[in-house]
Amino acid sequence: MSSAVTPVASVLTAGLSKHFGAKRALDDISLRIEQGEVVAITGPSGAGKSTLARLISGLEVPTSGDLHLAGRDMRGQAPQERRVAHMFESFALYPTRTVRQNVASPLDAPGNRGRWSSAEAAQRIDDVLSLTEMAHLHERYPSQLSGGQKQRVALCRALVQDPSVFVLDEPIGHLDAKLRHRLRGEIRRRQRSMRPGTLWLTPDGLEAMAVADRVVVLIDGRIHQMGTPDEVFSRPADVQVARLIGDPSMNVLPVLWTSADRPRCQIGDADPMAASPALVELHQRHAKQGCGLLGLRPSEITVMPRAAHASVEPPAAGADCMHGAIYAVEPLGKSCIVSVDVGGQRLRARLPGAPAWQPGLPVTVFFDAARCLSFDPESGALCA
Amino acid sequence: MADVRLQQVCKSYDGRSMAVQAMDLHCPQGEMLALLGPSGCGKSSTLKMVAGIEGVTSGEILFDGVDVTRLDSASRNVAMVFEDYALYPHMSVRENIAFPLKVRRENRSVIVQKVNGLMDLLGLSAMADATVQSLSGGAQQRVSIGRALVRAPALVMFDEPLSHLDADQKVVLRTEIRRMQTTQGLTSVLVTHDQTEAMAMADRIAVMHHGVLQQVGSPQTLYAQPANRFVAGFIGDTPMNFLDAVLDDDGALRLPGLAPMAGHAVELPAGLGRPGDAVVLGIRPEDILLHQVPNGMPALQLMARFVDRECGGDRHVLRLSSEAGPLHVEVASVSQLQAGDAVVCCLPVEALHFFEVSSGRAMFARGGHLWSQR
Repeated sequence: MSSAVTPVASVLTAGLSKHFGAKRALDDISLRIEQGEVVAITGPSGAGKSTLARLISGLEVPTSGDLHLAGRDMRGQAPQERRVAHMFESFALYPTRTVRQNVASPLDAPGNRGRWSSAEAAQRIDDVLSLTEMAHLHERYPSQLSGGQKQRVALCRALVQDPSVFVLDEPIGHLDAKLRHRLRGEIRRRQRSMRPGTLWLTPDGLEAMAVADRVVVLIDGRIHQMGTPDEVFSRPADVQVARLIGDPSMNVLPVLWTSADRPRCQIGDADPMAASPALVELHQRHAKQGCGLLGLRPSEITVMPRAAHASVEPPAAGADCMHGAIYAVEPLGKSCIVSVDVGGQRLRARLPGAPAWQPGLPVTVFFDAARCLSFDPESGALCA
Repeated sequence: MADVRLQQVCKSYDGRSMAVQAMDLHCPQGEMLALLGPSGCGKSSTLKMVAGIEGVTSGEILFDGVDVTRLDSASRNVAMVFEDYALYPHMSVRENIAFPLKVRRENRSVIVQKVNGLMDLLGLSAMADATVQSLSGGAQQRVSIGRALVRAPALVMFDEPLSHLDADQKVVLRTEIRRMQTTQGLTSVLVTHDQTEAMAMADRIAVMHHGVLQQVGSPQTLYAQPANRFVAGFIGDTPMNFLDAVLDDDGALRLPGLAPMAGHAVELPAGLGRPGDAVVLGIRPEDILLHQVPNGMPALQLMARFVDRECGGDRHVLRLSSEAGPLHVEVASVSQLQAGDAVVCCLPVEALHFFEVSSGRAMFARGGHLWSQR
């Protein structure tokens, strides 16, 4: 890769791989993070998120591939020469230093010495401490802090710097909902107004979508999808991505098609159901050997008790339906998550309010085949 | 299982500051009660006192009406589920669950029957003989729940049971615990800092802050009728918006950025405050309507500007700025707004919460009869 690309990318990787013996922790990662861009890397634990962070900051050496930071080739560059502001998932605070001294530590590092006057440094420290609501605790030691407070100190210690790139490894996971919500918005705005790019690592797909300009879905060391939050949500590249993204994530149901002349669709060991023309079309286009994978969004499903709906019109003309039984109802305030057992498969729906349905109640699940996604039953890839 | 009651329970570690203050709490038989609050609110201290791990400074703890305050943990028959599972790593799933009964030298066939029943309930039968280290975090936590339930405890305590799990496993186990709670009716106390977990799993939630109980109620009650500003702000995925307002001479509500009212003026109920009084107005992000003035529905209209959007998949959070302060609005569809665009926010009066400025107390329940009389 040439470093003469303009404008210079904050992070540029090409075919970056890291193998630990036979284990491919990261495989062929090609990624470009622009200046001022926030890119979230999301994936389950063990996906390779932290390994990628450690490759960028020079704590691990890649098995193969190239890495450029702000246009500079990082081959052979020691961590302290890379100007990476790395926030560790484990916090890695100095136990014998106060909150303020911990946050100040990178400003005194050899590469930064003399860069800021003491007044400027103090101002930088004050800014990040007040951003994270930690200013009143600045004289405390790490042992006197809760997990969430320690996490904020670690975050401050990264944000206080002026690096080539920020690498934030699970920066807000231990905070309560209110602070998490405020911080992810404010940090995103702050980072987008700065020159360095930001790599934000989180196992929470929802947080990734909320905070990032682009989301990278990393699973088993490979990039499964890269796109804007809207793209990743509306067109997940495959079943594994679909199962990671959303709140709750998309239902992916294996369906079995019976009788070719008048197709009926069966889920698990439930009774086969009649299918709408739209659903039959999905089947004819994508099913293989009578098997298909159907993606249903929890917010696009309607659930009604079976006895009650007998006299009720289906929610939309041509809507498909399946029979099941309530598994659990979880109230969440403005909405609730209803889990339904359909032929041994578990399906989740997000419904308004909090219906008083008991487990075992027979229900009908309505959905619109036109809103369904279809995945290839063999490869799991999204069907066009 | 027991009916658990706390009466005027206090805890002080240093003899000066109170970690838990005069706590009155009741967990009826078969209910799951969540202790919810930010770190340092006293929820873990409360858990430890109920479990008998930590003594009380004053007050009483009753199980089925019997004072157990001075009894140790074992005599209270309390089972714990820890956030890091605390399983015996060299034992199989079956051996881990059976362990508390083996220690008690229970009859072999009774052990087999109980352990099989629990593995069935928790979906562990297929992995009965696997060592626990080979299991996912979610499965390990289910083993730990099985081990807690197998000895028929009077009370099960869940201490942040989901916090070490991956996001997807968290959602699955949350559903499993909710299901078990509704079908089995465990008497249990859940300690968590995560409002979503508390809402999803518990029958009732006790919100704590600075060692003081703020409100106890069902998830719906806490969401729709928060007793004070703290609860209102703590419960809810996208937090509630708060705006400072003042009552003017006519008893009408004034706040900066308010659009000139066409037709009806929006007033507060009589007796709520005097002219010149300040109030804090609260409204949930999903209750704010953009651009559409509902027919005949009394509503405040606030002029605002679009700042940016946070993607939430099928819901989006819009951030707006107004003269009254920043506003978060939750909408279902992707908006075409550009930064700086003017937006009219419609705040339906029936969706408003009012809080006293000094105490933060809610002035009356949302959607209460005071409004419908008007």
